[in-house]
Amino acid sequence: MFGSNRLFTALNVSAITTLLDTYLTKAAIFPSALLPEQFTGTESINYYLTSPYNAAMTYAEYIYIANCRSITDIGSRTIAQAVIDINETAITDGFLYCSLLPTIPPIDKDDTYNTPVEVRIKSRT
Amino acid sequence: MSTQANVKLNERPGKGEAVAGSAAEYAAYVNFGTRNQSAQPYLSTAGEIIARKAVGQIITPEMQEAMYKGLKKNFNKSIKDGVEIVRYGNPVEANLEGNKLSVTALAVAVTSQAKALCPVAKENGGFLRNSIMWRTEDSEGGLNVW
Repeated sequence: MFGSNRLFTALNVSAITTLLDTYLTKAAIFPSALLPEQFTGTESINYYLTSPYNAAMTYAEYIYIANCRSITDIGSRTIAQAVIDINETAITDGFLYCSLLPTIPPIDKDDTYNTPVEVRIKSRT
Repeated sequence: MSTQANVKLNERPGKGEAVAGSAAEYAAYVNFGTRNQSAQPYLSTAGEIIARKAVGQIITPEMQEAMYKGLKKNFNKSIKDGVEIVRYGNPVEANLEGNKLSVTALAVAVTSQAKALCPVAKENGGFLRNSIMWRTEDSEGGLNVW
């Protein structure tokens, strides 16, 4: 829905999944604004939609933020770099391109470093 | 009572630029979330909402009005040697004024949208929302100080 499945497919590649922890036998990639409570790992990606959607347009642009989380600063940037590397990837009926945002340090000892990556999916509606 | 939100944005934009956001220490954590807290992208979404209507609803009307006022300025008609001479205001100045007004209007719109989307904490009644402000090269606004 709104490009979420296509983004998941683009992220679920070995270059990215080898950097992440696992959750229920799969790589920790979550299409959600909040990590699952049962997830105890530290290396993960969660992504969520931040743009409005105009169904009247012939071409849609969905903008997601992918939070690249890690216990270390360099770790989160490494995951973000792997996400950036899917820049201009062709997906079904469209393509996506990424841009990097500054790393956010943990807010407390239970939090992780987060390097958000903005992912724009341009697709025919 | 925390005063974290009663802080102005430090960033000083350059000529023709504007910034909109919050100087509250926890602003980014609310927008992008933490490991245990859901992301609530009030600033990110506000920017995208305004960007999509920026040209038609904000920039074009501001530019049109600035050009109209600017060209009307010092408007003068005279006849010399049987030739009608019409003088208008300076279009370059009018264009620059239009740019400045457009940028300010965009910053105000993003600030207003972000305030509408910003979550309000029950504990403090909206410090984060009150801290969202805009700033241009020579003006600022939006900060609601307690």
